Amino acid sequence: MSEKSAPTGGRGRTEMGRGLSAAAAYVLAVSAACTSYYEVPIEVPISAKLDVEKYNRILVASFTTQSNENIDLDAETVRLLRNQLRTRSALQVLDADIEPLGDFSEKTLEQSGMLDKFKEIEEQAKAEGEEQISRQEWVDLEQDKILEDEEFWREVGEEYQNPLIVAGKLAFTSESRSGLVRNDRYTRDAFNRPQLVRSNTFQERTGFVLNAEFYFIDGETGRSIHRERFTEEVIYGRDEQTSALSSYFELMDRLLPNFLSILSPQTFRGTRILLK
Amino acid sequence: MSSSKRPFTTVPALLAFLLAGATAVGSEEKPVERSREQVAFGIEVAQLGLWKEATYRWEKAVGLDPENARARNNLAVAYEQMGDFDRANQEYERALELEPNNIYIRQNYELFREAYERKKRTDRRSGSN
Repeated sequence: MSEKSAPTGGRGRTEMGRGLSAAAAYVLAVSAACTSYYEVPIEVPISAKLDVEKYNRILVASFTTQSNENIDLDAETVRLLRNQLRTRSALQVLDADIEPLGDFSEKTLEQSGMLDKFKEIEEQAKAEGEEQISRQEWVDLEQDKILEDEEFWREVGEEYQNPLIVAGKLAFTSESRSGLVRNDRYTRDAFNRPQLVRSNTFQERTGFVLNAEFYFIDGETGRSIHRERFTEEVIYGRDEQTSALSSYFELMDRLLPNFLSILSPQTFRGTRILLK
Repeated sequence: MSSSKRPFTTVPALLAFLLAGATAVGSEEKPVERSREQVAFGIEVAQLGLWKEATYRWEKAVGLDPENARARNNLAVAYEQMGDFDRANQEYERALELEPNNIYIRQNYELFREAYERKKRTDRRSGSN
């Protein structure tokens, strides 16, 4: 097999010039034709981000959650991650019932009186002239308190013989993404020439957003050794009638390879050409 | 009788000696040729999956002839295969500088960039702490 010659771009005006450029093209074509190439498959290794050699076992514990959808985010994620890790990592996955870390959804916060507590804190901060934080920042801090509680995680680790513990924060929300969407299409004019017609049309759409922050905790010390945050979004037209649960799974499906690459090496496959 | 034969036996011997000398001198003076040999051998071993050996051969080929775009292309592929994306990028770019119209190098580079960008995107998107 040989290489195709590339255009030389030489354009002589005189006959001699034309002759020379033709000769140059010929030389190029001949030299190109002499190129031997070999297609080889390659597998590009992407090493794991976290060194898990120390751990034989992994415990996907629980997640703090925030959602305006009727999904048990914590239970679904724990189950999904455990299943994936069982088939796609070398670690032994522990089956254990860990008490849920907590739901921080608007509705739950309101029902539990936490929002009132936040209002009190807000007023106190205002009265004392302290820097104010948003409600979401406060919710994040509350979640961090749980996830960074070393004593709590050390106890969990002790109970399960010091595995690598996975916990974190999950937020899954649906939002309206309705608005004007650009719509480009080609039509033909009276002379059969293609023409680009641009228009904006209003579309009713719903977007599902998944924010996940994973904490990898050393079961022996209870300390967080690695954290990673992912954000995925999918948008559906109103007529697509996609349920929140299937959207959640679609988003988790996108996120999973990146999650797994933290714990085990991954490979990209492709072909490349070697030249002689 | 023996003395009359002497010129005829010495001439081929002298020729052989000169040729051997010329070859020896030639091999010392033709790093381009030796670079090509290393490239070819590298391809043979790469096809057997011996990428480390192939890398060694192509590094040697580049050392012998730094203008050898094919050796640099192959070396880039080997670095890519070993996950050393930064060095692969460097070699592809150098190979393209030397042979900008080589469609094979260009194609390899485009495919590489795709994987490289995807990897960088993954690293960026997963804001690790």
